[in-house]
Amino acid sequence: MIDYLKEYGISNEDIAEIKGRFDEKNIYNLSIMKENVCDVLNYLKEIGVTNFKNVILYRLDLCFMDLTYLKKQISKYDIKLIVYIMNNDICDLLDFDI
Amino acid sequence: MEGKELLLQILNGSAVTSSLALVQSLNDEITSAEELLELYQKGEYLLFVNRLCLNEHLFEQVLNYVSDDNASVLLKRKVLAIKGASAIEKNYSLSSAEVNELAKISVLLKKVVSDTSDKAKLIESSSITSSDIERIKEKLNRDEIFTPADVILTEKIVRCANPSNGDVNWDKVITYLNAYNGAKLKKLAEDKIKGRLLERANFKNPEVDIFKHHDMTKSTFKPTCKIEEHEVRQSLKEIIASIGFDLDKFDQMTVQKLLKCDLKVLADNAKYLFDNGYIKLIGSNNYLGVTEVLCGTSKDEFVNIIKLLTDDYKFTSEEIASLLKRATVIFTKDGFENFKRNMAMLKENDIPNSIIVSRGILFLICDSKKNKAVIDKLQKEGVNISDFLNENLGMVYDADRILKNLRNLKLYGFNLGDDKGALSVLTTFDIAGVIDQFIELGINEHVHSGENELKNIKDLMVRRIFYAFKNDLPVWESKDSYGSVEKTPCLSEEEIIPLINDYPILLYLEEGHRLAIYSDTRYAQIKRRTEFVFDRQVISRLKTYRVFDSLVRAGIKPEDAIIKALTFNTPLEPNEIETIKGMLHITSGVKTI
Repeated sequence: MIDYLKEYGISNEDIAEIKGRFDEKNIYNLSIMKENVCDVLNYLKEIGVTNFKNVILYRLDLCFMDLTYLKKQISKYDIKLIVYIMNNDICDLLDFDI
Repeated sequence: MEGKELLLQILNGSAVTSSLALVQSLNDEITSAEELLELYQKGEYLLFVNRLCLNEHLFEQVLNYVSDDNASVLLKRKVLAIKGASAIEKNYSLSSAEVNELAKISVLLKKVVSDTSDKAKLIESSSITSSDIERIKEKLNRDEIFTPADVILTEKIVRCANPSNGDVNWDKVITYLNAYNGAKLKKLAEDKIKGRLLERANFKNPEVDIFKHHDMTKSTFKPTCKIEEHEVRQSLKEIIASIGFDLDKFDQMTVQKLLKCDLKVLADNAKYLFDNGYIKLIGSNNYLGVTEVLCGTSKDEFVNIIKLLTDDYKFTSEEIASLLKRATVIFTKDGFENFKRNMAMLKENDIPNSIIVSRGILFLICDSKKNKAVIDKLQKEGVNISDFLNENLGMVYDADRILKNLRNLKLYGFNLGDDKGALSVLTTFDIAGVIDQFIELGINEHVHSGENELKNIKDLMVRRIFYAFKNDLPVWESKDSYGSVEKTPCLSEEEIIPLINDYPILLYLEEGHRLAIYSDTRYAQIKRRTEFVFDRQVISRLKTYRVFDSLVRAGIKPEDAIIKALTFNTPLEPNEIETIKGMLHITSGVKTI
């Protein structure tokens, strides 16, 4: 159901880890709202984010965020800083109201 | 390829060979499982776990045998945790509880072997013969109607011909057979032998039009044979086609879900959603989301949900469109009930709709009981819920992390006062690790100064992020190295005492390096609780016990663990490490107490 995540460099092992971390309902939601999840991940990919496993493991909420809102929040900072945080410790993003 | 060509190709091909291929693939699965069992029996537990995790299909099969879903997820997590821990800790040795979990897996694996072997034998014994294939070919050549028995045999042939694409191929073939039989039956009816046909089809009233069930509004009758079942499917296919989707591209589970619905209600709902542009909003490619709404509501219920969202909850049409795309599950009967309970909590705390829609989707679709449990716990600990939700609405789903951080903040002596704007620190990956670094950098006093302690942490964290970014350094060196340590909780004073009793070596630390401050100021007490001092080097006391506990649990010797725990993530020069060892008398062997 969430095999589409492989397009973002997520391996079978990562998918097993994701399924192990979240309950079935969250996994199900990832498949039902696939369109928004892909919109968000495609945007993040576009700006240079590579650590998609951590995006899903630690900031699942970003996958369900309104893309326009996310873009607006990110645009408040140097985009390189945001990408740097996302590829390092994505949990720090909350300190930037993202 | 269309159904007819596909069927002819299969009939002219080598179905028998393919069924043998299926048997071979099942035998391969059995071999993999048996190899794993051998590893388990030899006591090669880590190899066993790694191979099992790599063979995802087999792992899933094993987990499918666990009847309770929660138990299945738990078992999986435990196996993955062993794998993760062994990757971090060289020579990781399993606890007896972990070995017990693996014993469960081995029992389930044996079941997989036994059932797969039965399945292979069954397929082997029911291999398609060439006379079966000839029979179907002849039917087609003679242009004869396919009886239910013929349909069943054809299905067997099609599925055996290409097991991996069995469902897709069979869909195409049955669609063709439906049309094929339909035309023949219609001709028979025109030939005035309708009565006989109706009698055979078990209709009570011979005047009833036997083709009426092609009308989707009448397609909810219970199928009594294979052909009828596939005619229902045909009706469903038409409904799905009418909203711009191709049922043949849906996965089997979704098709089964749709087939269980009342097709009249489904058709009604589909038409309404399509005509009013809602399908487009859910996603023109998102068949799972569309199925969720189609199966989860009737047209009237859907209309009512939209009405309540507009009139009662005051969402704008743009917000509703956004919810449809990003929170599709709330547009179902059950999902909406859950949504109402979640909204009640949000409204009680004055969270504006704009925040709910922009960053609160996960909260809306998560189980309201879980959300409530987190909110209740935070409230009990004195967190301002309204502020917390305004800042971190999207993170409530990660309750474990928030509650763990909350506990750790208290252990490190923090007040959760009026820290509006800084409650995001509760969602930090590992707040204890962050505070450890502040303690060891000697800036803990600053963190505890003033009334807004969380704000101080947040400010320092943000500064550190900027510094690391500008200098191209990692922000928190701890993140990856923490691994299994991150999963070990910080110990409270009540938990530290038995640890010291179990490992008397720790008394060195308690007696020789803990601050003896004869003052009752709050910060003095915090220092005594959180610091060890080695000459001029401050080491976090809670970090030391946390890491020590995790290491000795992983089988590391206490005298090695104590050094690793003290120096963990602390930027020390080699001579400083030697000084610490010397102060613990470890260079010349550990003293016994």
